[in-house]
Amino acid sequence: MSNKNRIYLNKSNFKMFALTVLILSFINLGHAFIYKLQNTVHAHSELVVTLSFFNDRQRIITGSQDNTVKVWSTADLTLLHTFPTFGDDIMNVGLHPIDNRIFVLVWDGNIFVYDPTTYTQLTTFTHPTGNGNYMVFDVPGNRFIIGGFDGAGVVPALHFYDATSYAHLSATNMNFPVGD
Amino acid sequence: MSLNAAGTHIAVTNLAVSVTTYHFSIYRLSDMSLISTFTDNTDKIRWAFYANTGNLICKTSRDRSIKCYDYDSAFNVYRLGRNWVASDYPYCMNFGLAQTIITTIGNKIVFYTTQNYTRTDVYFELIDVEPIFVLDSTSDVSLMASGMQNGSVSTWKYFPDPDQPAVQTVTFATNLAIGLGVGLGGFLVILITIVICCFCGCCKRFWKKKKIDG
Repeated sequence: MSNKNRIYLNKSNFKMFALTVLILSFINLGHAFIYKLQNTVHAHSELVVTLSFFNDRQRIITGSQDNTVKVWSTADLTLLHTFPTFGDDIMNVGLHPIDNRIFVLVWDGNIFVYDPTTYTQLTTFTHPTGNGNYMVFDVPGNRFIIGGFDGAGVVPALHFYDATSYAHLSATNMNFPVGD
Repeated sequence: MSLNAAGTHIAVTNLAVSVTTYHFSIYRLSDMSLISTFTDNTDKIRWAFYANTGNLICKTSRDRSIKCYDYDSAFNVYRLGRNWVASDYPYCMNFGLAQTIITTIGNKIVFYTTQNYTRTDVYFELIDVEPIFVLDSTSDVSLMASGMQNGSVSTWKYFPDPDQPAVQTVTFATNLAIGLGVGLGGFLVILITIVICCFCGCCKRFWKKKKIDG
């Protein structure tokens, strides 16, 4: 390096150099990782197909292709409750948006409803036309809607149910089986 | 299948078990009249999900696309907005803060921004050891939970404090990769700064003037 160039690396300008490096480094890391892994638990023996937080944020409910539905503590993933094993794959577990009643949609067409506190079964009924795949609630939580395959030879439809009486209200035919 | 925040629109996808046209249709819930339908995927649509507010809806597909649509109330129609091609098959999705899209791709939870920033669209990736199948988050997105293909469940916590940069990985290899990446990035920053300071004509003049003034 020539004498001319040595001027630019002396002590006096090193502070500015260091400051520049610091600022650029912070810019570089400005969008760094902001989520941290808290806990992992081997919850099911097969694929987890559905998972939801309760409104209280203290509990998580999971459903799996191993035909089980379980409730976990959010804080440390301690198992709080295991529902009796269902007769087929769990397709979806929906929580009522207001009171968090637990709706379990099973591939065999059965729907089970449970109390979110005691986990006791409130009712069970069967989807009228076969396999339900996915369910959503309307915004006030008055109705829930199930879509799915609807079985062989049946025109696929969106099925509307009353979320209080669990009565089947209506169905709107679709041209295709309804997905997630 | 998803409802918008107001509960007025319902978006429906087809399961595409034996078909080759992949429908994505949005209906007015009150009378189930069709608002818009799209057949713009070349493979199965996997997930459709409305944002927590407004009428923004995004969907993932096996064709690796993540497409977002918004409602044009003046014309009563949904229009395609942002469109990404993911590194692999995006699966489950959710919305995070500021309408950030959270999606699962293989063993990663990947965050995309729906804002029109000029910077890269992929925010960052959280890497787990197993392929992630489903995820959910609390309404304020301070907590996330993911369900894996092998039956595992994980929880993730949001750290808003930039002074506590969270290490999100669970594998040594990933930690090593991040360490090397940050190290290499820092080295490059230093190298570039040296080059600028030593060879930039403006800098030369500035320092020369300063030396003379001094």
